[in-house]
Order: sequence, then structure tokens, then C-alpha cells
Amino acid sequence: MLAGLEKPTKGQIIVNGKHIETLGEDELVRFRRENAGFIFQSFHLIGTMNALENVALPLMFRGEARSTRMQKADKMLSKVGLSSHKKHMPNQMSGGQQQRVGVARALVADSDIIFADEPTGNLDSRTSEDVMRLMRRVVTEQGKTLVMVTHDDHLAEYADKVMHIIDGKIVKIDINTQNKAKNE
Amino acid sequence: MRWSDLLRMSAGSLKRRKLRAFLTILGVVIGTASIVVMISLGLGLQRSMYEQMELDGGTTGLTVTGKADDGMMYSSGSYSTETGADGETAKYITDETIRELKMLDHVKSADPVLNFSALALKGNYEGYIQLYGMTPEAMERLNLELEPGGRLPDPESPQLELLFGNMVLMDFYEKGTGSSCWETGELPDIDLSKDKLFVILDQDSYYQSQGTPDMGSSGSTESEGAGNGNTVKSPRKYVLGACGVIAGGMDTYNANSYNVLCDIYKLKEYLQKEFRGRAIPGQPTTQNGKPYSQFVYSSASLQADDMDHVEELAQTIRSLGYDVYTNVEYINGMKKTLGMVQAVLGGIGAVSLLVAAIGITNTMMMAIYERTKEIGVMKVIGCSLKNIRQLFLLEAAFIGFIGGIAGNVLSLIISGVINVLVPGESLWGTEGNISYIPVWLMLASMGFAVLVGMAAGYFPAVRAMKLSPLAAIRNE
Repeated sequence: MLAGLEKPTKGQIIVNGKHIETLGEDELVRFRRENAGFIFQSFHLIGTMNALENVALPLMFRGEARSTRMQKADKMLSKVGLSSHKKHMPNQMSGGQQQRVGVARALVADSDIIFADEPTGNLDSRTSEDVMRLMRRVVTEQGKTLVMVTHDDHLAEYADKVMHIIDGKIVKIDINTQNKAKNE
Repeated sequence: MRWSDLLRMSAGSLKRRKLRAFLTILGVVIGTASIVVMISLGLGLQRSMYEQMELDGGTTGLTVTGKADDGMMYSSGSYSTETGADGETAKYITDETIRELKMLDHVKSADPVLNFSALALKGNYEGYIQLYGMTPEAMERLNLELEPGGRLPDPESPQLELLFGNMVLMDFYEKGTGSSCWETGELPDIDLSKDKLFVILDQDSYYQSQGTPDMGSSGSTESEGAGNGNTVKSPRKYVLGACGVIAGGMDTYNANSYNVLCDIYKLKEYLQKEFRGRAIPGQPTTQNGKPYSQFVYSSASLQADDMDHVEELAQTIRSLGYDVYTNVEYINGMKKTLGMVQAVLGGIGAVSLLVAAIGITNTMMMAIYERTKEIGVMKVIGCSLKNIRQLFLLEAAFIGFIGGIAGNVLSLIISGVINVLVPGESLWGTEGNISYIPVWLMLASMGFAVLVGMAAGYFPAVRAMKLSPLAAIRNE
């Protein structure tokens, strides 16, 4: 709902001072293009494009020229530690690598909010840790908002603020002071 | 999204499923080729028709004939009245008329034509020839191609000079057996360009004199005919030579192949001398059988300054009371028929393109089901709805475009093969290719193929656009 993928039945959603619930589908797409990055549980990379092109995709939708978006994508891939896999197709990479491409794709557009839907759901625990640490680092470095959904309490410890939702109702909000202290 | 990116993406997705794309394109290729080849046949027909018209006097020519009150103008008998039952005066082509016609708008030239049927004798052969008296200028304008050594009739020559059509000899037959070249397949042994022919203008008298006992003696024998009191005299035989023969063998037809051209004034002179005091056959007569006061030509041949003015001019002349025949009117009638032929042929071809269009739609639908997830991801990441529709429309247009090009190449090949295997003459009776593909047809068919592709791709594209992104992503 926050990302404007589904309409709320009632109430308001205000992101960045803008009402989301009133926007039409075309405006929602534009809102996502300008303000949001996405990381999916099952990666959702485009199978016919290599890592570099996948990362550059959001920029392409924004209408950036090929050379500049490739440069940005290249930089972003190096940042997530995949500089040696730029030309690989998604099916030539492991799950962890694919998810890192996904993270790079979410970050490349330099949007303020990043939505992550169980980003580690399809990964084993070791690569999960890797990806989480990567996301944590990038978010802190670049000052982004990351909205992450997870079932794993352990992973939730990475967050600054944890909302517990049971059957669509927020039951508890924890502020993770420990993390904040660590960051400061 | 930029256009270059859109193009690259849709071309890329085509490349992904090469065999399927190839098969879909093949459908378009066949559809386009069948339309183009079908229409090219119609166009070839039309073009050879025009060429035929060109041979028959071009598209700017008009033939004006007089209007007899009762349609008996050409009867050589004495029954012909000057005023018809409806009181309309019969119109004849006289020198006066020619002058009148020349004054009309859009008339480039007007020349009288005198058509006279005569009998020609040579050795054991005889044959009817159509004498066409024309002015030297009009003859010049025909742009006749002559056999080497030939020239147009000289109006200054003391004798009537004849210019034979290349197929005149086919109408000659042997006197004894009556067999002509049509039956035997052999041409009479006459060299038109060298041999002199006896030409008899007064056929009636000739046959009457043949019936009399002294038919053997040709010349100026006069004998009193009993019956109706007509003076039957043996007609004069003119010994006439050719000044030229129209180029071409026995099988290349042109408008003057069966005609014998000569100078009109000379012919007029000869006729007036031959039929002095009597009505010349073909000339209108007054009620009591006396010849008309003025010499009447068979027709007038007019040249309009432009093809577009021909019909207007024809109307004007008709309102003056003459009969007009133009090729343009014939062509216009022909055009309608040809248009129908082309529409039918094109329609047959269009059916196969329609089938191809269904193929495109099918392929695109498949592609959308296959790529539902991908489309969803693209929508989530921020690909606008317009772009998604464009992507799929472009993909369909690509299929149409490639198919259109390949289809045109294929139809050029087919057209070439048809033209080589089936010579035009055997089909339409005229020379020229029976299949003709002009550039506009190629461009139009290409555009049409793209259009059909896009139309076929529109429905799937809209469907792709409307996919709910969330549902698409969840689709595992």
C-alpha cells in the first residue's frame, strides 16, 4: 500500500507530503519511478538482461541516456561487491548475487524510500546476513529510508524501528535504540 | 523512456524467441506477398491495356464521326435522307466541320480521315483493303515505324501512294480456291514494298462487270446494263505501288496493321474522278440519289492538348451533334472494371494477411502470458503504462515490418518468375509483363503490413498495460 501497488479501502497514505491514495495508476507509476526502489523476495530480475542492464532498468524508464545510466549502474554494482559479475545473466548467478543485483537496482535511481519484501526469504542464513549487512550499510551511508517486511525477528534487529503487525493491525512499535547507538 | 531504448527492448524480445518470431513473420510474408502479387497482376493488366491504347491512337485522341439521321450513313445505297424523323439534321464531317472543330478549346489538331474499302488484285490473289486517307501531318503524328526503305506517302506525287500495314497480306486470298492465309497459314507470295497492285475502287461495278460475258477484257469496255437502267461500266483498275510498309511481322499487331494508308487529298481526287456524276459509296446522298453537295469524310481525328480535357471536349462536340469516340472514355470504363478486378485480387490476398494478423495477435498474447512477471516488475520499478503499450505495439510492428520487407522481396521474385514463365502476349494478346510492381505498391504494402501488425498487436498491448503489477509479481 505504501508503494502504491494496492489501493487502501479507507484512510490516507501520505508519503513525502503527498497523498498516494488519490493518485491514478499512471501517476502511481510515476511516483514509484521518482521516489521508490524495490527489493523483492524472489529477486525479479529480467531474465534476458545481464546484471548491468538489470540495474540500469529504472534509469532507462526515467529516460536517461544509455551511456550515463550504464556508468551509474556500473558504480552501483561495484558498491554491492559484484564488479566481476557485470556481464552475467541472472541465471548464471547465485541467489545471494542476484539479490545484490536487486539491491543495486533499488538503489541506483537514488530514490528516498526503498521497499523490501522479505528480501532474504529465498536465501540461506549466511547470504542473508551478507545482504542485510549490505543494505544496512548502504542505507546508513546514503541516508535512505528502508521499509522491510520480514518474519524473522533476528533480521528485524537490523532495523531502527520495528512495527509488529498481526492480521493487519499494528500491535507494537519498538524503537531499536541499540542500533541507533551503534550507528552514532 | 527513449525511443532508442523502446526499439532495442522490443527487438530484443523478438530475438528471444527466434523460431516463434520467424513463424509469425512468415505468415505476414505470405500475406504481403499474396496481396502484392495479386495486385501486380491487376496492374500489369492495366498497364498493357494502356499500352494497347497508346497503339490505338493514344489517350489524347478523339475520333469524331458524323451522325446520320437513321444510322444509314454508311449504306452505299441511295436511301439516305437529310433530315431524320425527329427533325434533327444529320451531321457530316466536311471541310467546314474540320474548320469548326479546330476552333474549339483544347483542340491541338483536327484532321479529316477518309475511309474507303477497295479491292486489290495481284496475280492470282485478291483481297479487300481498307484505304485510310489521312493528311500528311496526321500521318506524321502516328509515329509509324516503317520497314527499311519505306517512307510516308508523298502528297506531291502524281499517283496515289500506298503505305501498307504489316498484316494487310493476311486478308488476301487465292482467287480460285478462296483459301486465305487464315486457313493455310501461308502468306501470299507478294512483296508489298516492290510489287504493284491493281486497286479497284468501284467494287459494285467490278462485280457487275464480272457477271457479264466480257469480263476477261479489262479496261474501258462499256456495256449497257439491262435491269434497273444503271450504266454498268467496267471499273478502272489503278496500278498502284507502295511507298512503304509498316514495320513488324505478321504477329505484331498495332492500330494500323490491317490498314492501307494513303494521302487523303489524293484519295479524294481519285474517288471523285472514278465516280464522277454518281454517288461515291459511303457518301451520303440527297433524297433523289444525287451526291451531297460537299465532300464528306468518314471521320475526323482530333488531338486534345491534354488527357484531362478529352472528356470535356468530347461533351462539347457531342453537343454540336456529332458522334465522338475517345479512348479515354473507353479507358475510364476499363478503369472501373480493372479497379474491380484489382479489388477482388487484392481481397483474395488480404484474406491471407488477415490470417497472418491473427497469428500476430496470437503470438503477442503468448508473449504477454510468458512475460507477465516481467511486465509486473517493470511496472513496479517505474515503467509507465504508455511505455509498456508502446513496447508491445512496437514488437508487433516489427513483425509486420520485417514481414512486409521479406514479403516484397518474395513477391518481386514471384513476379519475375511469372513474367519469365508466362510471356504477356499469350495472356492478354499484347506485349508487356503480366505482373508489374510499381514502387508505390511496395511502399504501400509495407506500410499496410506494419499497420496490420500494430492493429493485431493493439489488443494484447492494452492487455499487458492493464495487468495489475502486484498480481503479476505474485505470479510465481
